[in-house]
Amino acid sequence: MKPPRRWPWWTWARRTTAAAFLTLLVLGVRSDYHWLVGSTTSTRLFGVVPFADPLAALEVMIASRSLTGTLVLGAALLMLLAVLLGPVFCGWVCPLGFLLDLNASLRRRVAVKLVLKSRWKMPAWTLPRVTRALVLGAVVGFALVGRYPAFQTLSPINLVVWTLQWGVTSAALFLVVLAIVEWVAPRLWCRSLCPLGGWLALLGQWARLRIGIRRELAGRAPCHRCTLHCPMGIRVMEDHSLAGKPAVDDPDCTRCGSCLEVCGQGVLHWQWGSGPRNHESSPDAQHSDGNSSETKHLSGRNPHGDRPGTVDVGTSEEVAGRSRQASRPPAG
Amino acid sequence: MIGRREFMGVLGVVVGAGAGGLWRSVDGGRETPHRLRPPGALDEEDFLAACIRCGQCIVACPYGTLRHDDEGRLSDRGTPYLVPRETPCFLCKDYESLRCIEACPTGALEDPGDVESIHMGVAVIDPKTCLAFNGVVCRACWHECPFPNQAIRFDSLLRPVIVEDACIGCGLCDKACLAEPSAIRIVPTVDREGGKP
Repeated sequence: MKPPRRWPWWTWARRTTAAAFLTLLVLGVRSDYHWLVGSTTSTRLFGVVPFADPLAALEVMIASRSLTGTLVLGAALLMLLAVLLGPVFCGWVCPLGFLLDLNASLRRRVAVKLVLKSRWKMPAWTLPRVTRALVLGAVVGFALVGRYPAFQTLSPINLVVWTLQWGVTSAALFLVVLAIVEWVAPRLWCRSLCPLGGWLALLGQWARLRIGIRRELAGRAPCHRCTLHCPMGIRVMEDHSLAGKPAVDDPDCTRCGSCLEVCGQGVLHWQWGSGPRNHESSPDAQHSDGNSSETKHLSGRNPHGDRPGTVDVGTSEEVAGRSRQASRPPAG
Repeated sequence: MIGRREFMGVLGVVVGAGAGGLWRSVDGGRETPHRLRPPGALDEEDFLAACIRCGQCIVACPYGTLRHDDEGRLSDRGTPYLVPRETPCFLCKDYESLRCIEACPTGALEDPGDVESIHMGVAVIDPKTCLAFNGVVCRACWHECPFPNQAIRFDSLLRPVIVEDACIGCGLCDKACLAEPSAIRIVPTVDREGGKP
């Protein structure tokens, strides 16, 4: 089954929010439309409502050993959003994520051509996703001892905005390097390095908004197109250990809906609310209403999603070109 | 039982703290001229810690005085500074409050209460190039100074003298100076306390 050509509403919505966020930030500096003034680290909407990047706020609070009302309020708003909805910032707002998304679709198109014509495969290197925790820790540790928010001067998210706002040449060069790296190691930054994503995922691990799975519609041999398209490298059909309502239970899920977009079977759906997590319970207790042999096979895997996201993103054409690989679950 | 994520996080804190200590030991010894900070800025070290690099003060400045640091030291990137010879700080004389301080979300710029309590830096006059020191009658700096006769006085030979306790470092005199290059240099507070002139 071919993926639909047209973007579904949520892809429109998230691309629009990300583009609007970036546009307003640039207009806030370059024009007189001061609707959203600031950088990704901290902004004010219409000069009143403060927003602060939860990681930048954390760094500044640790480095300066002080709190201000504006900063706490601004960070609390976005932290609440992450707690309720998960790391939606990554999939729906982040300017860098937006650009890397476009970069990835370009790469995918080129990759399809290469695979079909020459049987040559694009390299897809990766780092384990736990690396993000290391970077997050390092950023906090540096703020504590180094006493300045180091990530905010290095963050490619910031650099995208700065380049467009102030025309920073060195930042632009760095971003070009990052874009090139993304062609050999797709989504390396988002999956394995971004400490902001790591922090938001940490906050949003019990979020109410989920990608739900209707396992009964999936059949015995899932096509795994969702997994192949997940920008975070989540094994979609396997990461669902929530009791009662099976849902993607990987804290790194950005709720971008890429998996829903490509799912031709109607297995995946947006879901609000879920039962309590039961990672600790025995595998047999989960999905007791489902197919028991399948349940055992799937829940025997680590549900934390700590494994490296080794699956390359590809379109259905690319998948078809490598049908032997795609027909089995894409394990590393 | 500690998970891989938690272990990596703790390992990261240790690595980051080590890098931070290394950075401070290297960066602290480096003798580079510091940036002149906006009014109300905390002491340089606290300012760098508290500034979230959002640029709201830069946009808020009605005179276009503040600049976005794009090529300075790594720890300075994204912070606001001013080059008074090109655009000095007008202390928001046409407004009720200092706009940059109002815009700052983190308290890196702190309201000093009144304009006289600002300490951005201090003007230093170079007698070699100052016209008044070389036989020309010139009062350009004194005319522009927001605190004439307090921050800039004249000695018996009509040469300008800076009163360091009253000078706040706004740089209006630097901008006004008729000599080329300017005979006045605004030394940021941090460089003065560091033992420099």
